[in-house]
Amino acid sequence: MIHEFSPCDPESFPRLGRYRVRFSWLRCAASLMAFCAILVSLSPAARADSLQALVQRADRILRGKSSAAVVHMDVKTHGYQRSYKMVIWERDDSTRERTLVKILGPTSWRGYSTLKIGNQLKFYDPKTNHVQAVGNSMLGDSWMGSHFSNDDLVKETRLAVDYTPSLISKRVAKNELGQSATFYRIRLTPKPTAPVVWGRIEFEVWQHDDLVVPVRCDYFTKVGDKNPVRIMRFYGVKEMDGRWVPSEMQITVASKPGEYTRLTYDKLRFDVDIPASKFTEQAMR
Amino acid sequence: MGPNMLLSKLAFRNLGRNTRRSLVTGTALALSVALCIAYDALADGMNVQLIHSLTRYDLGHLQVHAPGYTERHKLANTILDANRVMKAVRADPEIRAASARVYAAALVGAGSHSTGVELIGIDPRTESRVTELAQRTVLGHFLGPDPTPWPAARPLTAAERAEDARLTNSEARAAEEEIDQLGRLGPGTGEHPPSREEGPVPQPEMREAQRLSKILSPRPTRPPEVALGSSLARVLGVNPGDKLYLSTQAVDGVAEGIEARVVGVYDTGTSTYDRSRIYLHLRDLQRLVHLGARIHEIAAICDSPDAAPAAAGRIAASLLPLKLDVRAWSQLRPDMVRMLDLNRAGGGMLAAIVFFVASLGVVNTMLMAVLERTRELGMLKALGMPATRIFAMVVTETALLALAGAVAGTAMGIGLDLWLVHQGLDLRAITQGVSMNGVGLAPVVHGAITPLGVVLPVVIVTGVCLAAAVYPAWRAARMQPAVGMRET
Repeated sequence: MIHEFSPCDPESFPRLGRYRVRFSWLRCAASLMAFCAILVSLSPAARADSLQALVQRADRILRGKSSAAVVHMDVKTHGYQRSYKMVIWERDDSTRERTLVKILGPTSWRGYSTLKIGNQLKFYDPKTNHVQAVGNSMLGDSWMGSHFSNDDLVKETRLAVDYTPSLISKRVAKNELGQSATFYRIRLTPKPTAPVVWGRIEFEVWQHDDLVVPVRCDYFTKVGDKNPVRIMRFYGVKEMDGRWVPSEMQITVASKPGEYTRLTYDKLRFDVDIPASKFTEQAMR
Repeated sequence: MGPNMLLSKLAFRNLGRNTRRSLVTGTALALSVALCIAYDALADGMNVQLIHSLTRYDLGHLQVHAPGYTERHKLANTILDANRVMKAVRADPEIRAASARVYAAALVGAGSHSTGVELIGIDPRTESRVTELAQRTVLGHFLGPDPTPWPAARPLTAAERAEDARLTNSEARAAEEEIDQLGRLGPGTGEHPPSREEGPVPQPEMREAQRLSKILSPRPTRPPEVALGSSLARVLGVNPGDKLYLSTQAVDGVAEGIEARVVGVYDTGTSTYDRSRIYLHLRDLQRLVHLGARIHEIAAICDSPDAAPAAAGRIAASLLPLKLDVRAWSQLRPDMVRMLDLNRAGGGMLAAIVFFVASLGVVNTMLMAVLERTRELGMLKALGMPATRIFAMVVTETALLALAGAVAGTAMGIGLDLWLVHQGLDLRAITQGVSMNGVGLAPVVHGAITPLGVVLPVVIVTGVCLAAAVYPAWRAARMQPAVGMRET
C-alpha cells in the first residue's frame, strides 16, 4: 500500500507494519534539520564537481579526441604587425597528446613547424632544414614572436586537472548569440603538486542549455595579485563542424599595452582520423 | 755613553739572557708578519685577477649602452648615432681601445642537443684590444678578421608580395582539402600505419617560396664562423670544424635560422662565459638579426681599471644630449666591488687575529722576564734608578724584540711574495676551478706586492708589541725595592 507522504499531516502519515509511527512536530523538525544538514554538507562538493565539469568543458572546447584546423594569427606589437596562416593538427590518445603546427605563410615564416609529442617539443627551421628539440625550460618563451608562449600553443597545462575551482560570481545575462545564458566567474587555484606557472587564474564561462563556452581567462602571477598579467578573450562563437565554439581568441599582456595576438579559426574539424605519420619529423619538413 | 745608549745596551743584554725564549717569541712575531704580508699579496693578487677576468674576458673597463639596455636586453634598443659615440669614446685621453658589440638570444642545436644561448657579435680586430678571448682559445682559432660574405636583403616588391599571398592561400587551400579528406575517428581507429602518402608540395611552388624567402633573408655564401665556450662545446658535443644551427628572431620579428661553423673553443674559467655564449663576427650577427649597422654596446679599455669611473663620467658628459648610459665596470657589477672589498676585509680580520695572539705571546714573555729579575730590578731601584727609566728599559726590550721579528718577518714575507708572484698558488691541488660571484679565477693565483701590504704589517706588529709591553713595564717600574730584594 502506498501512501502519499506528507510529513506535516498526521492523517496521511504512513503506518509501518503494526506500528503506527506517531506524528510529532519535534520529530518532523528534527528530520527536516537533518535533511537540511545533509544538503548543506553535500552541496559544496556537488558545486565543485559541476564547476570542474564547466571548466573542463570550456577549456577543452576547441579540442576533441583529435582536431584539425586552419587558422590565421594576427600579431600586433610596437615594432610590427603581421598575419600568419597556419595549420594545426592535434590528436589526444590515452597515453600522450600530439600536436603539429605548421606555418603556411607569409614568406619569412613559411615552413616553420612545431611538433609536440607528450612533453617533448621540437622546432623545425626550414632555413637551416634542421629539427631542434626544445627543453621544457623554454615552454614559457614567446612562440614565433607572438604573445602566445610555447606552452599555450601546445596546451600542456589543463585547467580542470591542475587547478581547484571555486565560484566567484554567477549571473544571468545575454551571451554573444543574444541568448540568455548563465555566466560563471570561477577562481582556479593551482593544486600543490601541479606543474603550473600561474598563481591564480580567473576563468569566465557561460552556459546555455548544453553548451559551455569560455569568455575570458585572467592569469595572475601570484595568488594575491590584483591585476592579471595577461588576459585571454574568446569570441566569435559559431558553429564549426557541428559544434558551437568560439572561433577567435585574443591574448593581451599587461606589460605591453596596445599589443595583442589574435587567433582566428578559418576551418576546424573535430574527431578526425589523423594518421600517426602526421606527428613525425618527416611531416615537419 | 749616554743614558739612552746604556738603556738599549741593557735591554739588548737582557734579551740575550734567555736566548731560547727571545728567539721563540721573535720567531712568532716574524711568522705573523710574514703570514700577513703573504696573505695580503695573495688577496690582492686574487682581486687583481678577478677584475682582470671580469673586465678582460667580458665587460671591458667601461661600457656604453642606450638607456635601459642593461636592465632589459631588447634587440631594438640600439645606440643612436653609434659612429659619433665611438669617436667620442676613443677621443677620451684615458681610453686605450674600444669595440662595438651586438647581442641576440638564440636557440642553438647540434645533432640532437639544443640549448638557449646568447649570441655576441664582435669585430675581432678591435675586440682583441679590449678582451683577451683570442688568447684563451684552447681548440682551433678565434674568429677571423673578416665577416662572412652575405648578400644584402631587400623588401619584397608589390608583385612579389602578391605572389607570396597567392602561395599562402594555395597552401591553406591544400591544407583545408587535406582536412576535409580525413575520415572520422571511429571506435576501431587507433594507431595505424600511414594511410596515405603526403602530397608533396608542387616543385615550382616550392622553388618560388624559396626564392621569395631568400630575398628577405639572403643566405651567406658559406656558414659564418663562430667561437664558443668550452662548457657549451662539451654540452653540444662539437669541436672546431663541426656545424651548429642557430635559430633566433630578427629585430623585425622575422624568424631567422642559420647554419654556422665552429672555428674555435675558448676557456675563460668563468662558467657563465663558457657555458652560454657564442661569438661571431659583428657584421654576421647584424645581418642575421637585421640590425644593419646598429650596435647595442661599446666596450672600452682604460689605462687601468681604476681610471674607468672618471673616464665614464667624462664620456657621458661629452655625449650629454644623447642621454647614453655610460658605466664603469665597478658600476656595472657593484656585486663584484663588494666581493673585492670583502676579500680585503678578510685579510684585515686575519691580521687582527694573528697579531692579537702574537701580542699575548709578547705579554707573556716580557712578564716572565720581569718576574724573573725581581731581585735585580729591586737592586736597580735601590741604587736610585727612576721608575720611568725602568719602564723605558722594559719597553725598549720589547721594541728590540719586535724590530728583530719585523725585520726577519718582512724578509720572509717578501720571499713568500716573490714566490707567489712568480710561481703562484696552484689551486688545482685543492679544487677544480674556483669562481667568486660567478667570475672564475685562473687555476694558478699569482700574488701582487703592494707597498702598503708590506709596510702595514710591520707598523701594526710594532704598535701591538709596544702596547703589549705596557703592563710588564708598569709592573717592573712599580716594584718596591725592599720587596724585590727580599725575594730569593
